[in-house]
Amino acid sequence: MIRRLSIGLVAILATAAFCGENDEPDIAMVPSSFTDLTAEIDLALDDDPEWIIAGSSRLLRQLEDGAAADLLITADAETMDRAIADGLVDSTLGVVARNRLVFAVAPDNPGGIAAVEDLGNADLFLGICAPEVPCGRLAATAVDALSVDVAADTEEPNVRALALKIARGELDGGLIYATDALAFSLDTVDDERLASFVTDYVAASVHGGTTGIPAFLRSDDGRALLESRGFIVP
Amino acid sequence: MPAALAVAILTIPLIGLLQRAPWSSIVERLTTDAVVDAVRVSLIVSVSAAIACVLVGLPLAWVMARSTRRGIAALRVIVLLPMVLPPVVGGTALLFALGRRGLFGEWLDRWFGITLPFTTTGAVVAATFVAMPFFVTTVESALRDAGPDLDEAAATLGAGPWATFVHVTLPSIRPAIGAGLALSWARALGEFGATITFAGSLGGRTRTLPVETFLALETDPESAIAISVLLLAISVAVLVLLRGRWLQR
Repeated sequence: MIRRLSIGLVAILATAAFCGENDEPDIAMVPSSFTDLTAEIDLALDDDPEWIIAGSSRLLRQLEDGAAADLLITADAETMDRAIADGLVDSTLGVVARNRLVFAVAPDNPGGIAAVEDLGNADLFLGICAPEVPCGRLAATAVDALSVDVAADTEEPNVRALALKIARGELDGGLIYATDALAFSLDTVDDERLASFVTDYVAASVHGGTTGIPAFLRSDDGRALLESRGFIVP
Repeated sequence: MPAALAVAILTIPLIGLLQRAPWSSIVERLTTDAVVDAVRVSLIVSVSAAIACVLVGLPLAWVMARSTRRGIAALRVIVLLPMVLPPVVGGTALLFALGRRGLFGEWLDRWFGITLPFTTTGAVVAATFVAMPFFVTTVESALRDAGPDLDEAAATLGAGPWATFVHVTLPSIRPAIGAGLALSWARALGEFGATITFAGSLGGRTRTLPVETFLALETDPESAIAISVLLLAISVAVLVLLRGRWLQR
């Protein structure tokens, strides 16, 4: 019984290895905010890339641990700088998209949030991203520059989780990306002072790999797709 | 051989962790304000959750062990569910039920002004949710083993139900209560998914050691490993301590 099982196991492993060598799809590592783009990029490109979607720092850790990949896109330049310093990528392919920080409010704005200063209102339920992740770094930069107090009730490690809590009305508002506000159909505070806080999505080739993704994102179709999802095109 | 393999599966990750630990700087890494806050929050949350498990789990275990009603089988499934459910799913369920806009949470907010998400109490609720099955199943099986004979003998000798429970039943299952307490406390200490989903993450309020570890992994893996070693040490210490005190038969 055990022998038959192990023969079966060997057969399965051999098949898997064989298939892997035959196809070799491009592997693209992209940050969480690219989640909603992958299906449409798949449609636009002839060969479906394999997507690895995670927080930018986590993608770096996977590369460090020897993960196979052809392309890396990080959610901010700082994370890409770290990847370059650690020798994890070959050469950067420049900025492929930008994202803007917005003060999103819960449906029907129960907290009556009207300005960035409301971030300091301790009576409201407010959230930002943890300073360890790109959206939290951008939020910290913004509130520092605007000298706004922040009375956050939670510092989420994941911008999508934060957006969900705002969309559910558990939080009255929070600082998230424009793309996430759009994905969850959230209203945002109309405050021009936030508009200048933008993060760059930087692409880089990994292990000498090439993919059509950066070129597509810079094409007319790619730019239209990015804009329809709330990104700013460079 | 399979037994050796099992031991290997259990110990190899621990060896990997200890080997990567930044021993020379571990004291500095574990005495930062953020880590000290997380230790405090973790101890408050896990101990409160373990106490909550005893307060409501002990009566539940007694009902499950003694009752012969048909609904008990269904009840047992409900009790076991948090053990197999992904904690993130548990946290989402808690949010939909007890969140400010949740089914029951809305009443809590409107009638009593109680909001659970983003509070330490919320973290305790999340930890209790995942830890409860460990206490209830341990104590229930002990109650079942002990059987009703001793209780009935005490009742025959004139002891009331309460006196029987306190003086006869409880002493006979003391080791199981200790074991259940240790298991549920350890589960509460390690709790991550339900906590971050339901209670969020704020230093000094809801950021427990596992959440701190997860955040540290983003930018400072060395510190994350140091905290993991600390969690490991606390867990081993408590399990050894409990084994010495309560678990001997």
